[in-house]
Amino acid sequence: MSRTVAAALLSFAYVCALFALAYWTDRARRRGRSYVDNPWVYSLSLAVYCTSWTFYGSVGRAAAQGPGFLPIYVGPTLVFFLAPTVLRRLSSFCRAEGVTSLADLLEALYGKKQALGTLATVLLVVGVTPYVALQLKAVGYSFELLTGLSPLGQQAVLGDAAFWAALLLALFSALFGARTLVASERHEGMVAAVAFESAVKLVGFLLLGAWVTWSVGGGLGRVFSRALARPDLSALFTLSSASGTTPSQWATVSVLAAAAVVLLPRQFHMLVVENVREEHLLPASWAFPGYLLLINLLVFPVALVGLLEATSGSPDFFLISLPLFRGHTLLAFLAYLGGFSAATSMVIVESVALSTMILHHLVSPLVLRRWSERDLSRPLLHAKRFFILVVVMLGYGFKRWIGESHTLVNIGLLSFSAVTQFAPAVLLGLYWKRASRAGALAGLSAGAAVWAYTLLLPSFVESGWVGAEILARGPWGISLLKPRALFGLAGFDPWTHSLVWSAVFNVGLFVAVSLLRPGRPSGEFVSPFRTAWIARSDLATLLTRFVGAGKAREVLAAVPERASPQVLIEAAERCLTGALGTTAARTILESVLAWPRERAVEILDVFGGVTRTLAESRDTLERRLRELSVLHEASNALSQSLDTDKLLSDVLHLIQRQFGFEHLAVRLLDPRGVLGIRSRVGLTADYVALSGAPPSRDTYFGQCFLDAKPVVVGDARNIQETRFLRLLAEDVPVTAFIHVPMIHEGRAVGVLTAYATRGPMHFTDEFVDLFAVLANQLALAVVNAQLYGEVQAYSQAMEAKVRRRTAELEQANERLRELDRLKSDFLSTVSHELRTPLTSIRSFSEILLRYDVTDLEKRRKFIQIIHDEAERLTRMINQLLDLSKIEAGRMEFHIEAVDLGRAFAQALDLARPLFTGKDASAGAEVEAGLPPALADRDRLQQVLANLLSNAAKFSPPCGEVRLLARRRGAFAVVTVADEGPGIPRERLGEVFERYIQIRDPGKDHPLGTGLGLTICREIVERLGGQIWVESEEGRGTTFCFTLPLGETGTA
Amino acid sequence: MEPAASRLAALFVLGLLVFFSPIVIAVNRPVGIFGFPLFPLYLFACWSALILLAWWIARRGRP
Repeated sequence: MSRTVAAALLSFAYVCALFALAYWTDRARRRGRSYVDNPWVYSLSLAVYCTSWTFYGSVGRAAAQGPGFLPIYVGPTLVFFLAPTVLRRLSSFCRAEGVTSLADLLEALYGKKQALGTLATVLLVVGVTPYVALQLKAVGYSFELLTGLSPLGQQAVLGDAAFWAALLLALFSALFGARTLVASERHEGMVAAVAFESAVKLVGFLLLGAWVTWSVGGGLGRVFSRALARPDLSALFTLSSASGTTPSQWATVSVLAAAAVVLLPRQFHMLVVENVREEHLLPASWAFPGYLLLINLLVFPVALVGLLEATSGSPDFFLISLPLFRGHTLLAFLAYLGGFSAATSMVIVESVALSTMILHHLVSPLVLRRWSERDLSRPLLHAKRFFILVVVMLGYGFKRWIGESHTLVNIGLLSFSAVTQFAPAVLLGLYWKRASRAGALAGLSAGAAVWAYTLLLPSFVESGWVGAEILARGPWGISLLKPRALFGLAGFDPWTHSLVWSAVFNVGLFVAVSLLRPGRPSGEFVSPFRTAWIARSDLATLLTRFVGAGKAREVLAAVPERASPQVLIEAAERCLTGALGTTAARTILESVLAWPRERAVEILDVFGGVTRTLAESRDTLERRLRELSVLHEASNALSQSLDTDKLLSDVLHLIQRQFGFEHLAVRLLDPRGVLGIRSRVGLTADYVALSGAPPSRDTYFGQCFLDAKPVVVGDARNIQETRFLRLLAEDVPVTAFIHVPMIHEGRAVGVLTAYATRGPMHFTDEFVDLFAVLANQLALAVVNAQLYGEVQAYSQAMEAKVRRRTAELEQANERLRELDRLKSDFLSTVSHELRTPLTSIRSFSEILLRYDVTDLEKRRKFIQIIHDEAERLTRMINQLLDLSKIEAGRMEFHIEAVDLGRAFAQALDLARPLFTGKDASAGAEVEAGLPPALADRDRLQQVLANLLSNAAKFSPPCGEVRLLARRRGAFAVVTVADEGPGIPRERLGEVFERYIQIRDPGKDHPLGTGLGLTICREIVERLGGQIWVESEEGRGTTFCFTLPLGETGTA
Repeated sequence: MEPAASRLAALFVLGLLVFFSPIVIAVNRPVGIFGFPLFPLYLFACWSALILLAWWIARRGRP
């Protein structure tokens, strides 16, 4: 088998292995396992930085320039120490904005407009595509070297290994690097392949390097000591003009590499887009520099061995030529494989990154200009794959046409210089608040121009495409403008020279213009769309048009069902940014969300029209479902409470949530006839207080209420403003509103209102109908709640009434029971009192009957007792009869004018025997001029007799009883005073009670019936007076009573 | 800033000193030490040391 066939087969098999690995990784991911999600794979994938320019070129560079190859890795090493700080900030910003490329990043940082991204894309495509050519050239050259074909002879295209490699790689990139249009989606298959290739090239280099150093060179020490012994070689160990690497170049290349390791399209892609999680940046901060260190560890020895052994051919390919010429074909194949890995991984990632950029910034603006309703997802994906092919083939074309030119050989550092121009814009954009778009544009343009003039143009000269005199004498002979000594700055290597000037112009203009024209501060890039509203289904339609139905569903499904339109729009924007670039995404969304009049109808159609083309599609069904679910939720809310305020606010919040209205009101007619806001969302208390008024046709809501018909105003900006609307507009910029009447049993009970503030709106018929149904539901609920309130109040009143009546009945019952008890007491007392005299009468009459009482005196005495007791009995019975008559109201009173003086005289005459028996005296006195009292003469006599007999009873022997009458107002006060023992103070209250007898302490049996004073009280009260007693123990007792006077007016 | 992140940032500054300060000029001499050229030895030694430090910092900073 010839080496050609073997090498071709090896290459083909290797690429097939990559396909298999990528396919297997992608499949694993679809099954939910990610082999890429760890920091080692991430670090290895970043090592795409080491291209064949590293694998072969480092050795060549070391052989020619000594330490000149090292700054390309020292710069990145230091930059990655900043991975957890600066790079993390960059990465999280890109992630949040859906940024997928450097050009996208600039647009995201500086306002989402076109120019900056386009400029960046052009610069990068120009600067980096030849770099792809360099890789293809390395593949072709190493293949030819390995197979013994003349490396310098030009092959036919079909016989050129590089062509077939390019074709295979383009295929691989298109399959695994452009799986979907959404570039922000990670490509795990591609990452796995690239990481694998990084491992292959590292292992390959280390094995080869070790073999060369120890087997060919005889060990590290020997190689270096031999080299140190040779002056031409020992010069390679320092920074000097002798080694071709000056200290300034050392620093310059470090800076360029530091910028390139982040900003080169493939690096940016791996670093940002394929970063599974930000935590991986911390381990990568030492693992990636470690990789760089390892792959450079043996560069010096290999270069030295190659030079010491005077190996023929380009030093760039010592790794292949050293083993090959010693007959170690297998090792040569290994070296070839390492270089092939380095080249292919770079081509793959670079082509994917560049094609994304071209699509986003050169193509999508053109496509969008003719944006139609067509589904663009397929064509756009095909376009992306096509651009991958274009980039790779463009690279191949460069390789064919300018393969040996100076420009292509130097393209590595040329690219680095080009991307360094982006560093100020990115860093200042991320960290400087005042950085402005104009500044970025100015700085970047100036930097790019300086780069082209000081580096690209001279390299064209050296390739022989441009006359050399421009380098020697400057354009038009102006030596100040010599490209390699601009403004007289000479004495530096071209890279430093270019870096200095481009930095001066780039940073200088950037800062100066930013300060002069702050424009929109870049701090505002995060400002989202102003409040906007779009239906989920509309967004789905929109996304489907660009990224296909599956992806659209996936994106929207990740947003919670109840999320605000803002969140939806942001998710859509991220997705579209990934697919079409920042500016395009912003343009598309803005064109949908802006509210031009003619589009409002199409767009704000919440429930209607979007599905013109899909009459009975899933969308319609979903919309219906949503409508029903709103109603269902509303009726749920309404049935959960009978508290009017709670249910109104529940339903208003539901409407707010579902339709995005921020200002809502329910007006109800109150009993005073005022149509006032009962419940609200987002309206101020002031407006609520001011807007209550009886319904009238002067207001829109009044009109709606009176006509019981919806009032819909789609554009409130130009209408004749009513009083209330003007009031409202002070706080809320109303742009459209809808009033619907709340109708219950054909009568409006209130008005449901939604105010929109985002611009004119088209309320579709379906929406108005839905709103009306909601309003009627509300009306029913409000009326129910009111009725419930009334019923509750009524039942409470009834309850109170029943309670009161029950209490009254209980009281009456209690009184009856008390009376019953009193009656029993009365009966038992009466019978007891009657028995006492009866007992005496019976005992004495028995004595008289049974014994022959001969003593006359004794017999008389006994009969006297019987007589007295019988009399007492009679009196008692009479009094009882009197009392019961009085109490039953049967006693008749003949009221007449009674002269008290005469009445007293009569009473005293009747009572005289009582006094004479006790030697007591009694006197009467009536105030002079006292008019006659109004009384029943006989009853008055009865009262006086009673009181006098009491007084006589208690009067001590020779005591005096005084009967007095005085005038007090319209009454005569009659007093009966004795000089008896008096009544204890605590018993004063009960002397008028029945059967209460105040006993004379000197006697042991009762003196009266115990009813006399009770009868007195009853009679006096019937006559319209009062009776009371005053007494002090040992000082006598005074009974007083009043009687109305006959001639009150004459006194 | 996390402690590991700020330590790494400090390491960045240390790297600037090691690679881009006049120290470089001091060691930039065509002499050998232990049979090795001084300048490459210095570069690779410092480079390895920085990476080891970074490894140590990152390992300690791992949550």
